[in-house]
Amino acid sequence: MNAFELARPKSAAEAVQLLTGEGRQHMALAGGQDILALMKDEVLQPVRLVNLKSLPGLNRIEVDRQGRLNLGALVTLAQLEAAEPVRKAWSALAEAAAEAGTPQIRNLGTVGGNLCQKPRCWYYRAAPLHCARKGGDACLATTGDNRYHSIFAFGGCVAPSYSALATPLTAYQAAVEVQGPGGTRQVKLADLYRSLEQDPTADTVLKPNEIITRVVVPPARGLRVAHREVRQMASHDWPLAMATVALDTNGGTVRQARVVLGAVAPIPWISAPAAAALKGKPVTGETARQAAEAALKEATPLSENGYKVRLTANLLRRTILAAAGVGEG
Amino acid sequence: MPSWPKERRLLGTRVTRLEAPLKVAGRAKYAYDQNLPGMLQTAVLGSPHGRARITRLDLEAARRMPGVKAVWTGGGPGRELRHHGEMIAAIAAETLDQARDAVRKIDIAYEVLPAVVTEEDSMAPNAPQLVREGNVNVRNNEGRGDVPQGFAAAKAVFEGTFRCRVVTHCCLEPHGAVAQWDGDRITVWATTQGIHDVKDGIANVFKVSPANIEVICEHMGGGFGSKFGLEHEAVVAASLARDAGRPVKLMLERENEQTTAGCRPSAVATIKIAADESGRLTAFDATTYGTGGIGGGAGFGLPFMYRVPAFGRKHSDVRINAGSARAMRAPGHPESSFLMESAMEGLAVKLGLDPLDLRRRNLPADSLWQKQLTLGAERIGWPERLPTGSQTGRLRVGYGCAVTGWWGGGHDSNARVAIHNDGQVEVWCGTQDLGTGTRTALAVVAAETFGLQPHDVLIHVGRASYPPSGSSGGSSTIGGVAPAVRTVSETVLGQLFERLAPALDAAPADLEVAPGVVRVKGKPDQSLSWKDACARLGAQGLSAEGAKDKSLAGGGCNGAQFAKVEVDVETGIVRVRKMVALQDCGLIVNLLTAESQVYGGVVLGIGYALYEERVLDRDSGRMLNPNLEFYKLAGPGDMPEIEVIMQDLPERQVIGLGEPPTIPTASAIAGAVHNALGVLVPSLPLTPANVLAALGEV
Ligand SMILES: Cc1cc2nc3c(=O)[nH]c(=O)nc-3n(C[C@H](O)[C@H](O)[C@H](O)COP(=O)(O)OP(=O)(O)OC[C@H]3O[C@@H](n4cnc5c(N)ncnc54)[C@H](O)[C@@H]3O)c2cc1C
Repeated sequence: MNAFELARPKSAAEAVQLLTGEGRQHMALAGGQDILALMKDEVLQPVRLVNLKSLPGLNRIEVDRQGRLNLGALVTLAQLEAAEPVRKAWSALAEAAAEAGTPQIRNLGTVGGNLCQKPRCWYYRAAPLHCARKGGDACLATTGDNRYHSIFAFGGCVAPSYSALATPLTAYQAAVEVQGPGGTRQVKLADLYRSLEQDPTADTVLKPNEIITRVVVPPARGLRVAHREVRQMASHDWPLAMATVALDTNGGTVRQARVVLGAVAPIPWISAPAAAALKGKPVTGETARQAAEAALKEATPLSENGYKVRLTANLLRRTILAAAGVGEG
Repeated sequence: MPSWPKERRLLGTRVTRLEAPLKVAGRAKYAYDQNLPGMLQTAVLGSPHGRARITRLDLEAARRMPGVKAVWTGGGPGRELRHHGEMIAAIAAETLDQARDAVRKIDIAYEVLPAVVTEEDSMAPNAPQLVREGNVNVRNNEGRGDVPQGFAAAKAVFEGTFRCRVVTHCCLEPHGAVAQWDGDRITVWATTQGIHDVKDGIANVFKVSPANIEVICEHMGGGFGSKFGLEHEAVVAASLARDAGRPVKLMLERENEQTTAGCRPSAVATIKIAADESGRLTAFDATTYGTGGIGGGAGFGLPFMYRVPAFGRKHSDVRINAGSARAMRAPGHPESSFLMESAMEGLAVKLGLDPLDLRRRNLPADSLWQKQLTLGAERIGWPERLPTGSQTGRLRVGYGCAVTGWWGGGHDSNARVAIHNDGQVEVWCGTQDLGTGTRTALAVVAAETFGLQPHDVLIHVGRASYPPSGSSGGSSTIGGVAPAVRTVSETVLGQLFERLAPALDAAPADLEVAPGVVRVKGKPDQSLSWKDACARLGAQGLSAEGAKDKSLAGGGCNGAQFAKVEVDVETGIVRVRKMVALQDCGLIVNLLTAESQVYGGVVLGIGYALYEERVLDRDSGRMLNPNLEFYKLAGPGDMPEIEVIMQDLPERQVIGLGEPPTIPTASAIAGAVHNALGVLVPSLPLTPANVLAALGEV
């Protein structure tokens, strides 16, 4: 690992200033569960880390007057999984947080760090390999061993998005509040990762000197939401697929549905075909199956991960049924 | 003649490990923990490529880095590197960070060569030849009996191809050593399964008299067969220490440990197997291959466990650009077991026989296996087993079984035993405790012999200057060291009886020990407390050194395992719900640590069945999962209920059992998955990809 400078800003504005590297790599440090490992493995070599943990007030979970959930960027996954208001009104988010990593990682890992984590691809994480995600010519996983990779095509990198929080937050239509040199702006979760489409090296639409300060989640009253994951091991393991389904129902029929898949595409995968298939229908074993099939129709699996198609379809069918509360088929 | 006692007070009971408090408190010193004054730390440069030739190697800039005291290299330009991680250079510096920084300053260039990564690619006619002898070594055909006749006479024939992937040892304490020279003398703290072999190796490599070598291994963080003899890492550490004139520590970092420090070979078999009306095997034929990487063979026995009158076998060892295989807990056997038991599963379906029945019919009628199969079937709930392939739900439950056997005869061993005049008993044995509880076993044996408690005995193991004892391989340790300590303890006890006979007014042969006392047989009031008895010994006490009496060790142990699993056919995920493991090892020395060996064997077997696999990049030959993140090791959440049933058979003497309990676990699990699904999953590990593919869902 290279020697680096550790900066401790006192305000978000100072953090932004310290992150402005002008060609030199400056990076934010939160819980360190991802970035420190990447530095030790010499995948990333920032010359300065800006420790966000010194910023005041970013570790709070609050419900505001409009009933929105406000999560400070430094809220830990452990806080999130235990917080009563979250468990009650945004239970899919609490459940997803509880599934991530191990207790030790959840004690330190933060909401902001979880959303901005780097790809968990075994080509990306091998320092000597220069893959597309690191600015190289080709995505090595596309032609290599891609058993854990994306089944939905997107840009030039097939590393799947593993953020446990991004999937439910996208389904809840949350937004992040971003602080940059010019002040703050809001970015919808659904837009946060889109830049990857054009540029495989861009993890998010954030500029290097922008940080997430808060996540704002609209009230979920009336929504029926479920989050489910498939992991091979019961002990720590990365998910093979995740799904969050949010249903707005009227009587027995679905008025609006949002279907988001994780670990199967380089970004949280919003399935419009699945949502369309559910719209105006009651949730039954059959409509859930049809919606899942509609979602997976778009899949373009790679050489080694064809099994993820069936697995994801089945997971999604079960998640739809769970959201509707009609048993898991 | 030494013998084991007829009535056992401690032997066969559950005795907690003597070193447990040290380990719990973090005070047990492993080689990794040795930090000597002035000691240097070492970082290693391993090959980043699966196959490459070094075209430039300049170490000058690295040598000039702060803190650097010595540099080792295994060869410069022209050297061909044949696998990811292969050691190129090692640098010893004042701190590990300095050593790592210096390694990054090594100026090196490579010509990358095409790597050969799969067995099939290596066997292809136009494959690059990796060594002069060629990539493929076809072993002589083996066989017995009239195979065509055996198949012709059969009622049912089954054919299938099965495969086990390469797995790695994942020792939590990586390979390495600390070396310290003092003039011509050298001390090596090694993490090793054979301190005497390390000593012998050092003597040969460095031309040092064995009299000037000490090798120390107090505690050991896992070897599983990968830590025999003098390891390359210890040679490099000792060379660096000599060059620097300072003690040197070299412990591999995880990536190098996973890529270079050994693995279990792969095994692929195309098997044809047949049985007659009565379910007795008539013929077996197998064409097999496997890879032990660039250097190792990939041998495994077939047919396995069951009697076949006629068989044929053709095997090829295939080289690829990957780290070499080393012995791994029951070398070859878990592979043989999975390949054979899978074929038995397929055959049972063809015959319309309960697979448990088929096994019974091909094992000796009077063998312990029969009893173990009966008891195991009862404990797992075999009667609840549904016919193979009869379930239709999402979650399907299956039951499977497999048998195991192992020799486990003890190696040669000496021991020294002393009694001091304060009653303290001390035992020295030049063995090593791999974490299996060897120390405690020795204390149990000595305490049993002297009428004491295990913690009353001071045990010394883990130094090559102690009385010689064999390497810990082949499950041979307990059958070496326990008999040695018993033999020599009996000798010393005989000396004690000689001394005490006049005072107790009896012949030495009439004396015996009981807890805490020496007394005259049949006359309990004619006794001396242990302390008073020993107080009569004078300043020199008593001591003796000697070899084990071979009659105290036996060989050949049996076992059977049963698995109950649940398979989700929508995700391909297999969960093991229960394992029953039945095992004998002759006379049990310490029931607690014997059971621990079985638990450990089953735990590893579950990982081997479901999760573990070394993944190589087909293009570069790099190992893609040289870490404990993507190399999946089972964790606590993946563990089922494990019921261990030990059979204590003292008349068979002491037999080793480290290896046999890991042999049948994966096979029993695979059999259970077959029962649940009605299709055989032909490849280990039983991943969602493999299970869904077998179900036709990919
Ligand atoms: C063994 C292991 C298992 C894991 N399992 C899971 C899992 O199952 N699911 C999952 O989702 N994750 C998992 N993680 C990934 C991750 O470490 C955690 O999810 C954690 O939340 C990361 O947060 P952190 O605060 O430690 O991030 P850091 O490591 O501090 O930062 C991660 C990245 O985010 C950037 N960053 C951090 N905060 C901000 C901010 N406020 N604004 C902008 N950029 C920011 C950093 O610059 C860095 O690039 C695992 C990690 C490990 C090591």
